[in-house]
This record gives sequence, C-alpha cells and structure tokens, in this order.
Amino acid sequence: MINKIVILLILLFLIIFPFFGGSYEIHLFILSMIFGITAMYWNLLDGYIGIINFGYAGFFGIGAYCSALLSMRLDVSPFLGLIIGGLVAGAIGVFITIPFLRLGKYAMCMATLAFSEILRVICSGWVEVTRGEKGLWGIPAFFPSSSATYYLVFLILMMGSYILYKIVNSKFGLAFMAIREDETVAYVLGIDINKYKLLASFISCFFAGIAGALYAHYIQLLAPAIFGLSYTLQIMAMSLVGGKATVFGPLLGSFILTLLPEYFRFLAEYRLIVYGLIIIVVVNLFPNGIFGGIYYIKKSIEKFIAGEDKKVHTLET
Amino acid sequence: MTSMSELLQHLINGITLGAMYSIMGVGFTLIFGIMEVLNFAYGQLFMFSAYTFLFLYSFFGGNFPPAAAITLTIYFLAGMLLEKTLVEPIQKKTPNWSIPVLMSTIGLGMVLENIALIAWGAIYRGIPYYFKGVLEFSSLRVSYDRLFILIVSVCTLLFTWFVVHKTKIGLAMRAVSQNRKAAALMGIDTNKVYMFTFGLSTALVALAGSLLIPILSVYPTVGSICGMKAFAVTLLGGIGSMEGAIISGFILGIVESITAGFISPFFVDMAAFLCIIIILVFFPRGIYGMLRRERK
Repeated sequence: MINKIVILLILLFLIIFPFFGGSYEIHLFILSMIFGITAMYWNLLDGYIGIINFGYAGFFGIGAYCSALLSMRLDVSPFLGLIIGGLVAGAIGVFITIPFLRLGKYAMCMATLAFSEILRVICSGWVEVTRGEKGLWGIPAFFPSSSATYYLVFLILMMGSYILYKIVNSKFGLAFMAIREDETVAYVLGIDINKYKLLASFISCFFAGIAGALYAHYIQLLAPAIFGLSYTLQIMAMSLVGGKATVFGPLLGSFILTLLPEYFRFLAEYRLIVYGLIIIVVVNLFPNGIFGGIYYIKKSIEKFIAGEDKKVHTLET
Repeated sequence: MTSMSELLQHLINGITLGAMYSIMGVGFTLIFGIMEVLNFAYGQLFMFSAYTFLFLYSFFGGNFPPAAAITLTIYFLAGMLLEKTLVEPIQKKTPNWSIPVLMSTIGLGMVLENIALIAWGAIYRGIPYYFKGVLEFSSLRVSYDRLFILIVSVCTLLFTWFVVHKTKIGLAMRAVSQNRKAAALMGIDTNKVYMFTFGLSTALVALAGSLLIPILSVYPTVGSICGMKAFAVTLLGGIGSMEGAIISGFILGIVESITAGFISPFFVDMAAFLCIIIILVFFPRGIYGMLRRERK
C-alpha cells in the first residue's frame, strides 16, 4: 500500500516536473532517465541472470550510432531509428553472446569488455562513415523543445520499467534467478539455460540500444568514447549504488549519481573525487545498494515493532 | 633478411612489454584467485606509483634502488590499508562480495585519477633512461634499459613464485584460495592473509609502475588502459593461475608489439582484444585450461 502511494507520488512529480523545473534541471532529468533505463537493463543481466556485461556501453553506442547515422545519411525519422537502433543492438547482443555462452562469469566480463573496446577502435578508425575521432554532430533531434523530449523519454522509461517489472515477476524472472543462483540446479530443473541467457541478452541489449538512440538524438553529438569502459563503469555504478536485483533501484541510482555531482559544483575540480568517494561510502555501508539498505532498515523497524527475536534477513543476492 | 631481423626486434620489444604485463597480471590474479576480488583501481595504482617513483627518483638524484625500494614499501603498506578500509567492511556484510568490492575499487580509481589530474596536471612525464647505451648484435639493437627491465621482472616473478609456493604465508594463501572456510578452521587468520595478498599485489603493480617509466611516459589517465590490460592478462591466463598469467602476459606483449610494428600502432588494442576473444572462445578457462587439457 505504502509502496503504491510512494510510486504514484514519484510518478506525479515526474509528470508535472517540466512545468516548474528550470531548463537545466530538465536536461539533468532527461539524462538521468536515459541512463536510468540503461542501468535498469544492465541490472537485468547482472542482478537477475548473473551475466556481468562489461561491454554494455558498446550496445548503448551501437544504438546511438545506428540511429544517428540512419537519420543523418538516409533521412530516416529518429522515431524509426530508435527502434532500429534497439533491434540492431539486441541482435548484436545475441550474436555476441552465442560464442560466449560457455564462458565463466568473469571470462564473460572480459570478453564483453574486449568486444566493446574493439567496437571503439572500429568506430574511431572507420572515418568515412563515422567521421572517426571528430565525432558526429548535428544529429537531428526528436522535438525542438526539450520538454517534449522529456515526455518522450519519460514514456519510454515507463514502458521499459513496466516491461522489466513484468519480466522479473513472471516465470521468466524465476528462471533467470534460478540460473543466477546455481546453473547446475537450474539445468536439472529443466531450465534451458542457453535460451534464457540469450533471451535476457536480447531484451537487455535492445533497451540499451534504445537508450543510446535517445541519447544520440537528445545530445546531438557523438564520439567514439561512448563505447569506452568509463561509460560502462558509470552505468554499473548507478545500478549498484541504487540496488542490485531490484527493478527501481538502478533508476534511483542514476538520479542520485547524475544530480548529486551538480550540488558539488562549488567544489569545482574536486567534484569527481567526491563522486568517487560517494560510491565508495555507499557500497561500504550498503553492499546491496541503497534499495538493499532501505529494505534492511524496514525489516529492522518491523522487527523492532514486533519485538520478535528473529534474525533480520538482509537482501542477499 | 631485414624483415627477419625486424621481426626479432619486435619480438624482443614484445618480450619486455610482456614481462611488465606478466607482473601486473600476476598481481591482479593473486587477489582474484585468493580473495575473489577484481581490483579496478589497479591501473590507477600503477599510475600513482609511477608518479611516486618519479618524485623519489629525482629526490635521490637519479638513483634507482632506494627510490624503487621506498616506492615498493609505501605501496605494500598502502595495499594493506586499502584492504582494511575498502574490502574488509564489505566482506563482513555480505557473502557475495565480488561485485560490491569491484564497485568500491572503481570509486577508488576515480578518486586517484582525479587527485593525479589536480596534483600533476594532464601532461606527460617520464625519464629518458636509467642506463644510457644500446647493446648490439649484428643488426639487433637492445637498449640496456630494456634488458634491465627484463631482468628485474624475471627476478620479481621468480620471487613471487617463491613466496606463494615455498613460504608459510604462501601456503596459507593457497589454502585460503582453495577453501576459505576450511582454511579458517585450520587456524589461518584469513583477514591477515587477505591483507598480505592485497599488499603484495599492490607492491607488484608499484614495481611495474616504477620500471616502465623509460618506455611508457606517465599521465593521469594512463591507468584505465593499463588496468584493462591487467584484467585481460588475468582472464586470459585462467582464473587465479599464476603460470597462466605469466604466459598470457608475454603473449599479449608480443602480439601488441608485432601489430604495432607490422600493421599499425592504431590497431594495437584491437589486436590484443581480438586475440583474447579468440582464445577465450576456444579455451573458456584461458591458458591454464589449455595447459591442463594438454596434460590429460
């Protein structure tokens, strides 16, 4: 009940935000939402099925470059480009996961990281198409006004989180979590591990591509650095600071890590040091992210009220 | 004939580079194998130690041994401190600490990188050489620096092997890496082992940082690519396998320098990563798995 009220209030706030927020705040909110979608779907892989994708920025970048190039060179509408970008990213996600299915958890990290680095080199070397290190500029926007873009991004965020919520709370979600906990047991229970891994990769990379396309048409500038490890790390940080294996945790994390540095502007160049310290402190206090921490506190209060001598179960993923 | 000697030349350069990768990879693989921790501040620690070494090197007026010894000691202690402050609190709170610890080391990496940017600015720093002069065999030219780097790295690798396989603390380390709980039941203080391992690994990267300066000049963002290489060497070698890390370090170094020499320096990283993907696809457990398979 309380959860529903909180969610409704947040939704209402996000819907009416463009009416009173300044243009810079709207910009920050759009960025938070775009990275929120990406972090949520990174979390689908890491939190639910147990694949650590270190090349996630690669799929974000594929969506971004695909949609931007289509709209620039072939005059495809950005809205169509959005979906094509997502589909291409999803297809490449599946294609690249097939040979990596045999790999262990950490070897998978390395392989995906290597993949995104290769993409980065290709992108900066293929000057005729991507303009190389100079980057793409003048990418057509969705709408001239930023509040219209805000609502588009908001709509996609809603769709994305609804789909994620449905997946996680369905049979698929259960299968994913069974695979995460123990692949052998899942296999014995009759779960087709490879099928589910490919499915999760497709969904996850599809939304990463869509988020990338949104980013490209919103910022209207792209450089090969978008494929780099630093973007992946940023997405991971959002996801893990917010809460591992929760649907809305990564969104919260993305808002926190996008907005908080803005409040530290007075620190000027020391800002990013503070950013790093925030990550360290949050992860040290709540290894399962802020949502995990909230859950822990809620359970502790319940236990205190009930006065029971039960052990508090933390969210152990 | 000239292309043959060119190839040899690139091979020699690759071997020196590979020796450095091996050292970094062994350091990375130690904490990975024993603590199940991926240290993503590794590259930044490399960069920081290179700056520390540069400062000490000029402080001692260009004298290598005391500067390197002090750098190593500082980073050994710093590594123990980092383990105490960053890793241990998380290990106490959750049984699945790898990903949270990974995140906290990423945070540490950001902090270190930005401190370096503020403190030393975004300029390249380095020293031209430790020893002047070049060794020549017919058409081959090897600078004394590269020989020196190679010798020191091989000695370090042997020393690390000795520590892990022949000493009491090494025995404890191997026991913990095999079974954490059983080791604790046998009276091994796992926290002490973790601290020592982290310190040793940080000291190894500090050595790499101080040795590599004449070849690779240092700048604040050099860490990210170096950390990635250390990670690559570790995974390519096979999880927690020192022998694998050493071999894969040399493979990577040779592949990189041959690509740089014969194709283009632009494709260096791409060739390295392609090589990793290909090896991992065919041998999912890395070089270690490859060796095991041959033995069977």
